[in-house]
Amino acid sequence: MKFSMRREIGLYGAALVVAWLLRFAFLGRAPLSEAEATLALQALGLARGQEMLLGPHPAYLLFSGAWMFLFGSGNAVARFWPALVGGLVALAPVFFRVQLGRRPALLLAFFLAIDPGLVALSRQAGSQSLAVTFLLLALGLWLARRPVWAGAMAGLALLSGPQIWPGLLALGIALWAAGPRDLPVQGPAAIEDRPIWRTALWALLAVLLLAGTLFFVFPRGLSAMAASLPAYLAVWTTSSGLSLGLVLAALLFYAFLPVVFGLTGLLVGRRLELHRFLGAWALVALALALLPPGRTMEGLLWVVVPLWALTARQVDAYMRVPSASRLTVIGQAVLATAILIFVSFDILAISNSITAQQDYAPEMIALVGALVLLLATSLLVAWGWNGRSAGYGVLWSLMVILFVFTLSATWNASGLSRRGTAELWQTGPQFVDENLLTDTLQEFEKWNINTTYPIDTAVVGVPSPALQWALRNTANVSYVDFLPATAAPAVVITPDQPELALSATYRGQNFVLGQQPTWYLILPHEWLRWLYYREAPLEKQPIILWARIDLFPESDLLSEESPPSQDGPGIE
Amino acid sequence: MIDIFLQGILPWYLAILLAGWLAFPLAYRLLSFLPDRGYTFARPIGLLVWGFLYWLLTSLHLLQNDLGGVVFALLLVAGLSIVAGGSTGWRELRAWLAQRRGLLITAELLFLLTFVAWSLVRAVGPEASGTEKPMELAFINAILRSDSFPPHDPWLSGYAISYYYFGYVIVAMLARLTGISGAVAFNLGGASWFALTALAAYGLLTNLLSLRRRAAEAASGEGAVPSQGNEPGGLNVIGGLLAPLFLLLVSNLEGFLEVLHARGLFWQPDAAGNLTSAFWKWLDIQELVNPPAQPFGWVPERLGGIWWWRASRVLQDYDLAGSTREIIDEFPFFSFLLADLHPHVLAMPFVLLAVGLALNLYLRTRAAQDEPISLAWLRRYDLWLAALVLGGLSFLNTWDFPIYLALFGAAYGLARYQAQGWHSRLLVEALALCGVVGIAGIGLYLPFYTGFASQAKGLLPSLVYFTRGTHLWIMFGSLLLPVLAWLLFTWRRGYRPAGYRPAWKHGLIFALAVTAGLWLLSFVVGLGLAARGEVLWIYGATSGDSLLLVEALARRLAQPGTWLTLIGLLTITWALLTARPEAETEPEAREISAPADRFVLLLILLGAGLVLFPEFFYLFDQFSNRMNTIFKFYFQAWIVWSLAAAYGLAVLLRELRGGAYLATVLGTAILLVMSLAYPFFGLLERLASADYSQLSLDGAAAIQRYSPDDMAAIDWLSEAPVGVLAEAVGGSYSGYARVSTFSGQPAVLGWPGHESQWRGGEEEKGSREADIELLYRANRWEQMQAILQRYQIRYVYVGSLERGKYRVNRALYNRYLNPVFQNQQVTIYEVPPILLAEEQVKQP
Repeated sequence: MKFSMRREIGLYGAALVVAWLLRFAFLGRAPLSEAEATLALQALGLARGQEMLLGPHPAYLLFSGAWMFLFGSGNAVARFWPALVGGLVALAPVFFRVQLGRRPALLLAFFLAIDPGLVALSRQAGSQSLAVTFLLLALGLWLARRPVWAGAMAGLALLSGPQIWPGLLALGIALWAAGPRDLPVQGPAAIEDRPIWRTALWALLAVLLLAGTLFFVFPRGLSAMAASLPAYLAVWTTSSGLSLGLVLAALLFYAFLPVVFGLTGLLVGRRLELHRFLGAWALVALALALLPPGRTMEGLLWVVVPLWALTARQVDAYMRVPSASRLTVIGQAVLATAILIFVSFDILAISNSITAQQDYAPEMIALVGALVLLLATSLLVAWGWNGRSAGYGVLWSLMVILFVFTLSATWNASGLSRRGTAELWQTGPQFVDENLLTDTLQEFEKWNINTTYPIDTAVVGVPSPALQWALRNTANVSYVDFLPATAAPAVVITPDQPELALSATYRGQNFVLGQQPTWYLILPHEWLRWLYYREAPLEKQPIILWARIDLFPESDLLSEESPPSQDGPGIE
Repeated sequence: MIDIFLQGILPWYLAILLAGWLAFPLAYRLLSFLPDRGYTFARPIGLLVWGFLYWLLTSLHLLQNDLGGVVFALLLVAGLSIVAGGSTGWRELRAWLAQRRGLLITAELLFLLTFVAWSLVRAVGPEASGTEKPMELAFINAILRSDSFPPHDPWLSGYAISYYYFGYVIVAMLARLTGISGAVAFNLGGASWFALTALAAYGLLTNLLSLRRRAAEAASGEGAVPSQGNEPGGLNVIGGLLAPLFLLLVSNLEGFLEVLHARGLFWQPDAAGNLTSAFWKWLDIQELVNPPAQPFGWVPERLGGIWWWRASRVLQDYDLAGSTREIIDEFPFFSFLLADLHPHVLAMPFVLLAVGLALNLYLRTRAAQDEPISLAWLRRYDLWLAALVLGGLSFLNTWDFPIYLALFGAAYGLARYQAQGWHSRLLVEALALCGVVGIAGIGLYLPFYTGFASQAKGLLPSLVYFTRGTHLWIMFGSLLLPVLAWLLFTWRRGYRPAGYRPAWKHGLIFALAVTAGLWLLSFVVGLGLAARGEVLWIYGATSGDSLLLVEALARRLAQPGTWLTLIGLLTITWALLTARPEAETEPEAREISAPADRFVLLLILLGAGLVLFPEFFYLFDQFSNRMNTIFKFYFQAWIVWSLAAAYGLAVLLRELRGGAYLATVLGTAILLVMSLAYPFFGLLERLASADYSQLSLDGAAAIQRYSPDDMAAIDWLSEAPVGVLAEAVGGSYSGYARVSTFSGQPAVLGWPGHESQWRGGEEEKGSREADIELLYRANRWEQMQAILQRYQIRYVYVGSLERGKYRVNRALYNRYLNPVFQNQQVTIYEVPPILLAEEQVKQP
């Protein structure tokens, strides 16, 4: 299929719209996780002019700090820059059209727009998506002979935080080991041309200086940039507690399509320098994602990018069917898709039966029957028309099924699904009762008729950034490890404890502060069920909000401290 | 043992190596007139530039005091080096390195071996306790814990450090990069500075010997006269090792006297059987005037004391009342054996770098006739580096700044004099250079000066205090003998055959003028003071005694050893330095003595000046005597004279033949036996008594071993957020202030005496000592709360020292404060912010 430049631009635009839709839709709905809140609080501190040490994510902190200064501190504001920049990744393939081919590049744009990992991390406050987008843009713009922009993007990539280093390492090692020698480039100048290097370098330095200090407002951002290197090196010495198997599981469950078709592309096109380079890139990135004891899921982002590129090339190859055979292939694909849908539901039924400890022999027979049917139809098509059409039909159906599977994974990983799902891309415990807790506090504020000042809240022994973020706009909050016996703040938030030894009387209500899946408790067959329903055992960290008894409207009726109520909001 | 290497020595070594390699292109470009192109100075340059950028940018709040800031500053050094390397040409650099394998291997081995060896010496007794080690460790930890610079004073909360702390910044920077704790960094710092000093001294002597060899080759027609360091010319790779030997190991002769004393030599029993000795009495060195313990032996020892301490207190000053005043006359080996990480030790590699810069400037000025005073100086990167290094000396060890600035200006003046002869503008040009470099040096470190208060109250004439000739020779004999031998050789073998005529008359006039001038000036100033009766108490005068000056003069004339020695030395040095060729001398022959000899003569002259000056003037500080002035000046004299001695000896051993050679070898052997007796027995004592099963580099090893509960509490505080700390207050050089020292948290008050010294008074200290006592003894909450609020105290430490010194009212603490840490011996209370905030609300 040939398509005009105008249509190509339109399609890239569509990919960008899809990417931004997936990233911006209901962006502020989910409460910030502990990991997100840690960064968001730093950005908020910058916006509020507080003196603090910047963490090693200057781009996120400085940009978000400025954004919060202008637009307040909503959850969506905290996630704005990752979503915006994360969406731009869909435009990166524009600059690889010469190397990948026009259609594969376009396909890659859509793949990157919908990749579950990229979408999930673009919707979280953090800098991983910034690192991926900026590095890909820098590479693409360099190949497209735009040294100023390439340098600028490289500068922004260096400001993105520790996650840039495994990306740079993987790319660098792959280029060194398997870099294409005669990679086609755009424009007249050669790569070795000194002026291009110099121009890019100056642009890089200028961006480091300007963006890294937010136009000299926060010069210490440069320090934070340099801190990203030792922060990355620390993952080789400190353990994150994340098992190797879980990271591999995430790769398979969320990126099955690129894993299958990427590897196929690598095998089929192993003689091509470009494929060998992309394969080496993915392999090195995978090693860098798995080997460090401090491994995180984010490391997989660098694996999926080259895999998607290989997939795009392979899918494009499979789409090139002679027009005479197209109807046959479509027919075979529809048939195979129907059978595969049945197979997938049958697998779910088998999983349910295992969970319910019921006999699943009928489902197994049905599964085998369906596969036999698929084989038979394929043979018939091959006999009636040709083997190539039959094979392509099955491949097309597999692509459709895996594409839908990927879309589903994207939907769940993005947090757009209404039901709370357990996701491997979740970066830490979620403060699920954030809204309930803040609403409760607001109610106490409303009921407070004793003083004209805001009620005072003391958070005692709960070192939680997510809670701190939730209370960011609550006046008169103090965070302490201990309250003297003489103190009596209006509201006290403590870890789960039976009573409060203060001079006043309090009523307590518990909330869930942190909730996260306990992956190590999942049995092997339950993974299949998780694949369909995203259900997993959850670990919850409760806290108690204690309100001084005089804050309640019926305070005159209550004179003694009550144990935590068991019937209020947020009770599990 | 393996942990010491893997978690201490190796990462530290790699960090310094990295700094050196990153800075080498910079050194290669800016020290281009040195034969080694600055390779042996690359490490000090790298550390200094890196430390400067880190400190300055953090002080200006452009960087954070964290690992990111350290890495960013290192990246800037790399950037500067890339620019320097690019402009030089990487191929040239590679080719140069390939040609100098001998130098590279020797230098690298020297650095590695000295670093590892001294690390192991430190590992035998790593405790950062005793003398001023706690103060130094406290600075390092405070720098590591401060959010920004200037770092907080660990012993006076609410104030920044008021001390020359640049060396501690560099050590803390390395600790931050390597992830090593401050207590381990303390020992690795000492060991690595030993190695850096050895390497820089080696580099200096190698350069000087190479220059001499080239000049000789040029004179004999074997090669062209080289003007640039990268041109062919042999490097005297092995001879250079004499410099670290003389600088770091050779010691004063007190150690040898200790051996004689321990052996009971020159002691005779009197009629009552008591040992007496006219010789030891005449020497007048404390403790050695007392009879040795019996039975006699060859190994020095001192019951109830440290025998090797005395070598740093050879000199004796007596006031008018006949009372002794303590004088410090440290020399490098003593300092490293003592293992205090004091500023004079931390400055050593950079002092040698400053000497290297002066040599480079001297060679450059000789070779290229630059515009003497012009705006073109602003484009001279070597001058900017000089400003950075010399200015840095002020921040490292303040007195070194004027000393080496003077050497820098003198090197320039000497080169101009040699090229053009004497002319009236020569002095102006040299002073202008000093002015420009000095002002730039101060300007670069301006943030330091804005927060620095000194105890110095000016200069005082040394009317009654002076150094006896005997003590001077015991102190410097091991260096002066090779220097004088070389001066004699230079005159006889170097100058005379080459047709040079030493200006003896000028030399004598110069020596007499300088000595008499200083003497007269001190008398005039003393006369004025005596007339006003202002500071006579300093000299032990009970009243405005009009005979003071007469008595002072009589005393000095009765002990002429020092000033006669110095007049002699100044005469010979000046005469040789200003020697002019006779008319018939061939131009090639003139190079025999140039340029290395001239530069060494300049070093000897500087050393003589450094010894001469405190004979007549000294710094008026809290001690009101010559203690610190002698300490600072003699230490620098040791550095420059040791270089001269090593150079002289290397020349003598290479160029003498026959009987003179044998006599020199024999003399050198005797001298080395005498001057190495001190390091031999000093190390023997340290190593023989060591427990090798407990080797460690942790400065907190002792507290860990003997007070584990305190250590656990300190570990907790080291990780806790920074907040004002209350702990027991006690005297200097004691175990007090241990918590702030090891944790880096700012204490309300540490060692009170030291705070007074650093700030030149008691004002800042105020009533803190009494307030802390009241805090611990308080029996009413209001009393306690008032003090907590006044100093915004966050942590109150109650350990065995606090309980022992104060009657701590624990009930009150338990009721109002939060016990955030507790073990058998220690409780740390945290003050709730709410309690501290109330005071702020009340304040208008």
